[in-house]
Amino acid sequence: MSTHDDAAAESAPRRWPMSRTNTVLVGVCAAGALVCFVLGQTVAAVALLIGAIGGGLGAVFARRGSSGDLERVNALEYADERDRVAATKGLAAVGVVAMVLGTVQLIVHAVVDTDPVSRWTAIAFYFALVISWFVANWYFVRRG
Amino acid sequence: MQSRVKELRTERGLSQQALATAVGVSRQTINAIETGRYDPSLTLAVHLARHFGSTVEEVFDVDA
Repeated sequence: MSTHDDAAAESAPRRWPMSRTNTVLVGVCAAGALVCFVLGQTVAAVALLIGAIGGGLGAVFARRGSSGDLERVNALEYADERDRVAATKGLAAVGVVAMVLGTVQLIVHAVVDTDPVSRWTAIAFYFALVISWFVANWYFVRRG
Repeated sequence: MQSRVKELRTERGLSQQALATAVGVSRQTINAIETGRYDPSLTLAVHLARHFGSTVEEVFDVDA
C-alpha cells in the first residue's frame, strides 16, 4: 500500500475503535474469561478479563491523534511505516529471546528429571519455534 | 541519512503535523526524519519530494 493510500485510509472515518489484531486478541481474552468463569476457574477468568479490558483500553487510547509512537507500537495500533518498522524490529528481538529461552528450557528438561507433560511441552515449543523460524525465513526471502 | 525536510518545511511555513498529515504519516515520523533518526522508505521519500516539488536527491543526501 502506498503512503497516500495509507493517508486516505487514515483520514477515512474509523468506525471500529481498534485494529483487527487487537479485536481478535481482546475477543479471545474475553471469550477465555467467560469459559474459565463457567468452569469455575475464577483466578484465570479475572486475569483474562483484566487482559481484555487492558488491551482494549490501550488500543482505544493509542488511536487518539495525540498518542505517542511508543504507545501505538505497544498497543499494536500502527499509524505509519515507521511504527511498523519499529514493531517488526521489536518482535524480531522477542523472537531471539524466545529462541534462547526455548533452548535453555529444553536443556533444563533434558538435565533435570521433570514430568513427561512438561518435558514434551518444552520439546514441542522448541521445535515449533525452530520450524516457524525456517518457514518465516523461506517466505520472506522469496517474497523479498 | 541527512535531509532537507526541515528546511523545505519551514520555508513553506508548514508545521510537522501539517506535513505529516499531507504525506500520511505521524508527526513523530516527520520529526525522526528531520533529526536523522529514521530513513524513510522509498515510497515515503518520493511522496515527500513530490510534496515539496523536488526530486528525492534534492531532499535527501545519501552520501552524508
